[in-house]
Amino acid sequence: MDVDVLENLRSELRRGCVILAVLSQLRVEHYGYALRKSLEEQGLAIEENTLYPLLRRLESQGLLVSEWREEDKRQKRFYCLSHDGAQILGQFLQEWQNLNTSLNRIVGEVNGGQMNGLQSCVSQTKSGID
Amino acid sequence: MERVSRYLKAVRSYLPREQQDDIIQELADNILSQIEDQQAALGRRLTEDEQETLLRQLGSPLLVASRYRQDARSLALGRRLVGPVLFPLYEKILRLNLGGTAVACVVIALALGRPLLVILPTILVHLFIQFGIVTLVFATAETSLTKSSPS
Repeated sequence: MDVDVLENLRSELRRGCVILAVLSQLRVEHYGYALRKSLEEQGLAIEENTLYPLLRRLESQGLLVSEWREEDKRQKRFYCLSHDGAQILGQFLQEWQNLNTSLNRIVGEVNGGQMNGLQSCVSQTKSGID
Repeated sequence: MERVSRYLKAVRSYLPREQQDDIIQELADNILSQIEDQQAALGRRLTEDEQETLLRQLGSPLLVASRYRQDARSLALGRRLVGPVLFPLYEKILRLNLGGTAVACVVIALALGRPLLVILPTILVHLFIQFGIVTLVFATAETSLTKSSPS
């Protein structure tokens, strides 16, 4: 099986989830590295090359605000959820919950810990033809 | 910290001018924070080699800079020839190359005492050839780059 196919699917699935996690975590202000570390400690590792540019993009979309401030003898850029961002996060979370509920119903039987014994429907169709 | 500043300088050269200071100051702080964090965990300073490893994990300066660019420029003729990661370097080399070629042609024409209008077609042909060669080299690099790292 092509590893690239899985990798592409994975990054598509992660894209929206990463934004959800970043916005949620920035209800409390963080600077880039601290945010990456705290998300990683909670089990979500995000590459620097993804996270740092993403923060700037979310800021340019008005979802975050940032401020340069000195800490540990260095200027750091602290990001925090904006008012608009907080509103959108609420709707975004609702959207995610709805999706999650539906998905749990749809993939319900997979969820019972049988992820390794998944079968394709190809063999069923074939035996149906025979 | 010599390596870090060299790395940052390289990233900087591929960023849009108006954003350079801002992005580099932020990236510098993030990298230094990471180094200090690892040093605190180890209880000693990172060696030059360890710093090098950390920077290598971050990715090549060209790749890092491309992630900050929102314009994601590329060159395509049917299929994509030069993607957004290589494009800033392609643009830089092309500018140097075409500029150099044009200047060289003009200087030679003046030295030989030929009127510029007469050699204009020759200059254009040379520019076209240079453009073709540079594009071919980058398209080849792009193909091998996409093969080795699909994402």
